[in-house]
Amino acid sequence: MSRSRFVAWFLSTVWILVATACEARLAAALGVFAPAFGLMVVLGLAARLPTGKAHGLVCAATLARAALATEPVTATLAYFLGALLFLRVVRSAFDVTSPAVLALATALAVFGAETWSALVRESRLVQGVALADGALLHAAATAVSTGVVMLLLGPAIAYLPGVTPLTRSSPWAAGASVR
Amino acid sequence: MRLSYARALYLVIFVAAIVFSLRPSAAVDRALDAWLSPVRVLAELAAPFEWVRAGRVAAAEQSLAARADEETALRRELHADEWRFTLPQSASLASGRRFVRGDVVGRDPTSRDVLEVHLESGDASGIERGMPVIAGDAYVGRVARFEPDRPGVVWIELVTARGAFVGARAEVQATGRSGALVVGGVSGSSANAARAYLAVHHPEDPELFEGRVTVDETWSRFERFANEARGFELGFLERDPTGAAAVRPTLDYQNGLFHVAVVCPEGVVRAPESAHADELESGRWVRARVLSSRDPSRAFGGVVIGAGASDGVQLGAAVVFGTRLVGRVQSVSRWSAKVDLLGSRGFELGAVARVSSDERPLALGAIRSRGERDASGACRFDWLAPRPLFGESGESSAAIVFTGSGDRGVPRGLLVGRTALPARPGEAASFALEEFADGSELGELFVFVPDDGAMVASDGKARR
Repeated sequence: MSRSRFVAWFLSTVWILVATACEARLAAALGVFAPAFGLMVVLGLAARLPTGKAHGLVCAATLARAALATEPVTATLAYFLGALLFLRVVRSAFDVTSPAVLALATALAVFGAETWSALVRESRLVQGVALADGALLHAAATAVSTGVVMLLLGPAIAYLPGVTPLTRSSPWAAGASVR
Repeated sequence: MRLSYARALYLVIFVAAIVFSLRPSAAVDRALDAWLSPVRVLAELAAPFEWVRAGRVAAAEQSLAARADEETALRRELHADEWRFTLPQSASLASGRRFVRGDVVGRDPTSRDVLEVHLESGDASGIERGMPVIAGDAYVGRVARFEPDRPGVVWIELVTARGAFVGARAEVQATGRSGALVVGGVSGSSANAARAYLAVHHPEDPELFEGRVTVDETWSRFERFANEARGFELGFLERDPTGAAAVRPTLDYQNGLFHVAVVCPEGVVRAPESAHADELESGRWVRARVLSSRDPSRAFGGVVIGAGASDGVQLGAAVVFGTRLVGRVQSVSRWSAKVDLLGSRGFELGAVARVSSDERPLALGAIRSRGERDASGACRFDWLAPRPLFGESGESSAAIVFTGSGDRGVPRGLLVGRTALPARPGEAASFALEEFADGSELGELFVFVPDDGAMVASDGKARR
């Protein structure tokens, strides 16, 4: 790995960390309507990266979220693996660099990821797999707000300072060729 | 889509992560926490997000510090009353016996019917196997075993244990009708109920289904401590849900035992009891900075602190600010730990309350957070084994909630919060608890590490 790539991966991790910290702060004020910025940045980057780099992105995102969240690391790992797998499926049919497609895909991914997080919490409290009352509504609220923010800011994510070496040589056409 | 090696690996890891999330494995969680210990560096990188609340943190800490003396006095009063009501309140039960009190600090990992008790003075001299154990006027069980390398520790077997038989007599005061019976173990039909019945064996009068049941083993020539146990109450004889005779116990053996006393013969040779050691002073405190006060995983709602296994922090340890409980450690890596706060969904603890309508401390038993807050910001808690208080239906009594003993790593008597308990709670009850300290509003917390090391190891099993 070249030095610039290494720095780019490190800065991606830092940007995901910053987004996750912002998300946590906003959640204290906005509750379930706070956008899931962490996952939004991950999906925004993933849409511009070749699919082969998903593993690296999952590692970066898991490390960043595990540093700040109290959920089990296995749950965090599944949270990002599932979201990126979903984006990969969407990408095989649509151009995910389109803001509208990316916003819709993000909203759906956030809905799934937030439901997943609530499912893990509840399953560790009761016997079997269960969801707390209202968990789906809360996940839907977060998904909608994240989708809206992604529609507005999504295209800018690929241009976050320091991450362009990862995305510069990997336009949609290059990603599509390996899908 | 071709299934290349990388894609197959991706899917395998994804499925494994799902499985281990929903079916947790202590070994996997521990290994991942250990491998990811260096992410503490990333948490430090996010520290500027914590700086923005510095003013609010300082104000909260000053406010809590200003009430420290008052809260210490509340703790001491609670402990004095708990100690007083551990002894029999009836003069006839108190006379001719000597009592050695102790704190229940945990249960045997292999049997919930065996309790670990730390005796006052840290000394078990004069105590013998088979001696009766009581709480107030109620019979609890017998001394079962000792630990040679821990002289102040005894293990007691509850009367709810399978095979823990005790001779008893049921007596109906109004009619004078009475009958001998043997009580022990839990009535099968109620084994999983919140309030189990004690099983009745060999009743002298099979048609007797009422009356107060007290211990009476004086007819047995093999029972060495029959005189010491005689007269302590087991409960009330009635029909269990299947219609069989059973004893509705006076005590909640599952949730309500925090202090007990061993009953010795009056002439037992034992040094005068010394002042009881406060667990808060007997342990060690690890200072920890809050690295992440807001949890991005909303369903969990805990905090990350900057102290870990390398500082002695262990799974299940109490996290406090002063004498106030803030939460418990739910996972530990080398340099950091994740803490469940009081308001985190599913947070459970054994609690005792000072209720305004009663001078006697009330053992609440287990209470569990719903993870919800009401309009005033108070956390909603479920009272898992509710019991009636003084007062009419619809009334409530103001109460201050403290930690009980029996949870390893959580010292007894820590302040938890203020609430109003329903007087007639019924089968299921909940209440809004205003916490004394909100961990997400503080900048620095303290983790309790008992000196004796009798804590829960990171694999979730008791370690002694």
